Amino acid sequence: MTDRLKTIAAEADIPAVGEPAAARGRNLKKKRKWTPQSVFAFVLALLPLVGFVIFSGFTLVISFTAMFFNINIYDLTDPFVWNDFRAFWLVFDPNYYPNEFAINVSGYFYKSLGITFWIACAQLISLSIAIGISWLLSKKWRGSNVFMVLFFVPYICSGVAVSLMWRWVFNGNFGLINALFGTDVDWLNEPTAVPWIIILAIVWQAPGYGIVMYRAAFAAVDPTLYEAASLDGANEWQKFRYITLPSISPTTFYLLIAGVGAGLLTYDMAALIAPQGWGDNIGGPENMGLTLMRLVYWLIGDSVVRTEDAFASCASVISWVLFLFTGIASMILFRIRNRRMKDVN
Amino acid sequence: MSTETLQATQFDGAGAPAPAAALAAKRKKKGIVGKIVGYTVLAIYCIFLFLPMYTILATSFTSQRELTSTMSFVWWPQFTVQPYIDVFEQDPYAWSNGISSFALGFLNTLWITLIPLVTGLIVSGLSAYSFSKLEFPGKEKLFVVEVFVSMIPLGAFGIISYIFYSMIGWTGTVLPLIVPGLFGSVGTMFFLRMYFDGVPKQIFEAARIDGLGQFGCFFRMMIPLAVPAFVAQFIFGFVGGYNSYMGPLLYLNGQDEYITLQLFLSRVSTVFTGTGMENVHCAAAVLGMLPLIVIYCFSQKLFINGIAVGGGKE
Repeated sequence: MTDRLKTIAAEADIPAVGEPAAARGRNLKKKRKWTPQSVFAFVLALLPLVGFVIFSGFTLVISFTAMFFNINIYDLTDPFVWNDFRAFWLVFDPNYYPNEFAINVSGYFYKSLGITFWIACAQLISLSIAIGISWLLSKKWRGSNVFMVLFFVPYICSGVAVSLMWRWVFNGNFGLINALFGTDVDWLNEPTAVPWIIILAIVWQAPGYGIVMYRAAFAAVDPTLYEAASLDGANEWQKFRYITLPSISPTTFYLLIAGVGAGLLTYDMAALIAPQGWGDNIGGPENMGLTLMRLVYWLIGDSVVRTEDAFASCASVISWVLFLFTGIASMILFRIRNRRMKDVN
Repeated sequence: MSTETLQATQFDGAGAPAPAAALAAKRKKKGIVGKIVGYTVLAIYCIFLFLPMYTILATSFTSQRELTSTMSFVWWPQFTVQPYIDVFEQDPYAWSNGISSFALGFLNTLWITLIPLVTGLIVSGLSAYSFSKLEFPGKEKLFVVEVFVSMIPLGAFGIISYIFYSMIGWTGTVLPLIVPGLFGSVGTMFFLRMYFDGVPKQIFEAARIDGLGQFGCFFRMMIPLAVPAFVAQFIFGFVGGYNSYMGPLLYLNGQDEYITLQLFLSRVSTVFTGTGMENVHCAAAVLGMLPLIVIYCFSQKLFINGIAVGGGKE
């Protein structure tokens, strides 16, 4: 993380193209003082940070506090009560079953953890599709620009509309799938099918972004490398494996970090393709569409949190777990990237 | 091999005519096969992307009677636009609201998206301008702090922030969707600053000497000079705001007067109930996607660049 910070700070300090180095040096030598103008500039520069501190900062503080205290989110005058780490037990220990809780939070937690993990892994499929398609488009065949324009369309469609669309495709009576394959399956109520439908919908939508991001990366690959490889008798696959893939790896890592992050936080598609059913099926049939974000949403939902303040604490715990996951995932990927970069140098 | 023979092999094939020609022919043949395979893959991907879209499009032009009588997917419906009319006319809330939910949702989405987006862009721009062209003590340190802050992956707190907004009494209103955006975002500031740094400082100094104030410099010089950067950010923000579902769902507490387009779409199956009303659901989904797709058709370049640079700003 700090390494990346340094590089970003260094990048920001690189003088802009065309700006004479002398001007840059003069600026550095100039002593900065607090004057009305500089205070004004400081305030302007500070504004985005102010917004962050007020809205994200307080959210962080309150959700952190809420892990350890029972908080009545509808009545601030209620005192915060120390909860003896009960929220942690409720979330993590499957055998912790205090009588007053009819809801088995940890059961839902572990179930949704597994499903969220698979959905996050599905980002690898989106990424592979994006790489493959961009590679084909990078050949600059006739019509490749038209293809790219077409392939980007899913990305600007809303998750809600996309979910409606896939629900319709898998509809038991009128669905395209049943019409195509002559089956008669109510896919949306089939527990084993639900996660796959969600993953399919995500994989349908996500690659468009990758294809656009890869366009510049593929264009930036040094063409002399390909020529040299051809002279050495490399075939297409070898060129792809040993020239293209390493050259585009910064984009790949960026997409992987963004993709896995988004996958861990899946909400829209899961909630709309597998809406809450009756009773225990809070995440669609047999909870097979339950992601961690949906669980958090459900736990702080009106009907649940009013029964017992501890559920807001559970929701906070799960949010922080998710935060750790997203943080760790991006840190691991940064590690791998840095090591790879060292190898290359 | 001397230079002469090398040239000969390369340019007229006199050195070794037969193998070179055979190799070229082989390569050409291989190229054609590769092209066929490549185009096939692209075509299959196209089908994967657009067949589902065709299904809702086809259904949205199917009449309710045709749907209920076949009870199966209708590939080529007898064309009717009735479902599109029904989106507006069969809406049970249209009477109480005085306006159909779809239209209300569309208008709400527009203002709920545009107010924080435009204000936030200007604020982020002012901040970036300050970092790029103005001087104050501790500038580099503040910049590092802001960049560090922008790298914290806060998405996980998207829902739990409900507790905070509930405590300050903002739930059930549009305030949580609008006010945080008014302060701009560090990511946008960072991106705009990179763009602003490419504009030479001297022209602003000249303008200052000629009597233009700092705001004048920003609004009348920097914004016109950085239009592509602002447009990219605007498109990225607009697509995100137009399509956002979780935020409105979470904070608006189902208040009908604030219903957004995506909330309306997510509820179509409860708004238009009855057998064979799926054609209206599909029509609503198509109508919901249409505005962005139409804008996209006319400005694909802006969209693609906007998403590419807007998303890669981190």
